[in-house]
Amino acid sequence: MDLGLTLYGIAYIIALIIPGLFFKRFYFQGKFSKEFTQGLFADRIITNIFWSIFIQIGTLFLYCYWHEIPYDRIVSNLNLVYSKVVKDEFPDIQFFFIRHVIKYIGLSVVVAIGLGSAAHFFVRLFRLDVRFSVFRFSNQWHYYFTGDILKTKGFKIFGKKGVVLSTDIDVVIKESDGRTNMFTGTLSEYTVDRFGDLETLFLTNARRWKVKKDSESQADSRLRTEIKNIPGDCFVIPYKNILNLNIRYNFLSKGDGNENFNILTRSLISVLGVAYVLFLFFTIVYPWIVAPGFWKKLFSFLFLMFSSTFLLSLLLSFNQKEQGENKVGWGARAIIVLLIVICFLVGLLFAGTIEFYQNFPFVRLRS
Amino acid sequence: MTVLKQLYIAVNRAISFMFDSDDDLLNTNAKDIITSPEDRIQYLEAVDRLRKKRIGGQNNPEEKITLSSNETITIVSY
Repeated sequence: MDLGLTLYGIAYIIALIIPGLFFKRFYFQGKFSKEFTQGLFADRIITNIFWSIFIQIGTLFLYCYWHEIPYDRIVSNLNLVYSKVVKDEFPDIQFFFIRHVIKYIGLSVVVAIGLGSAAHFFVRLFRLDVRFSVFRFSNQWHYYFTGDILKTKGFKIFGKKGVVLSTDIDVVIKESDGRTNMFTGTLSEYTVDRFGDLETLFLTNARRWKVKKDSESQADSRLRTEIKNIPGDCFVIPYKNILNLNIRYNFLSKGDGNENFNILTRSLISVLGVAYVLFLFFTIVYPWIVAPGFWKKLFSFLFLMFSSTFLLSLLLSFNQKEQGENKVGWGARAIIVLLIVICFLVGLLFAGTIEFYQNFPFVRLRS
Repeated sequence: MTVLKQLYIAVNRAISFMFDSDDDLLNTNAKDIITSPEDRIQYLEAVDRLRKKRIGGQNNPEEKITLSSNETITIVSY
């Protein structure tokens, strides 16, 4: 058995394929998950390798920084292994080396998942896929059924603006006996197959259009349509039976209250939103830069994340529609404020204060 | 226990806000309306009236409904 070829093959897959796989799996998520398996095999391998190289560089940097391992030591250890493999000898691997390799592989997977999810979140949050076709996902039906298509260049000329509350569908279905029927309902869910083609529609409040003769007389050929409710919670329509479909969007009009008050409220919400995002960025980045040792960084990060989660829950408690027991009162808000402060202080404690002043000396009041 | 329950609701809302998928076909407002039996009937009847107005040739018909939370919303069908 050629040991070198086997080890290289394993190392190639772990280093250059798996991180890219995780990155793409978490980038193409939700309604766009089928795109993960689309495309030519060669194309998918090449993009996997590209993203894996990118992720490996980031992971190597992070791992060396957090464990305070000089890059030269990693290179010298790898050279030792390589020199043994070239001579067809089994390398002398210590247990600590195996431990580092396992931790490194785990970190590369975590980095890949984090980057993939963050990229997806960033594209969807700022609707880059709607504004720029280069970012658009291949599941075109999502843009039509959610109304996002109205914000694209081709549909913007129709000037339809507003928040889409729900989407109604009118479908003409061909039955097995050749007759056609028309159904209408609110679209609540749909599925696509692995090629991205529409597979099934799920309607709620479904109704069937029926054409009837207007009178009993045979001579009178006037017809009238009536609509009949279909009893049930979910009406399933396989796409293969659909001849054509019509999409109707129901928009939420802007409120007809005091416009000045709305502008003020919106401005306040925007400022609070920006402040929260900055605080969240601080809680994510600060512990990894300042805290000494991997475990202190991790615990500092966890407690600061708890404090940012509690802060978000406090902000959201001022925008609630529930009544009675489900409404968050001032007692609960006071406890949330206390939890924010406690978690924040514990997070800073784990991060350590001495390192804080070494990294940010301009904050120190006394020299 | 009520304060603890409110605390749980507040934290649950924050976690849902962070992790809820934006791929849902129903808007958050629409989900709140559909889950309330009274509001659901009002909403669906309003959508039905909008459909009939559009069939009748009316441009940009509107329907106002008052929800059980005393909030008035206007639904437009372009």
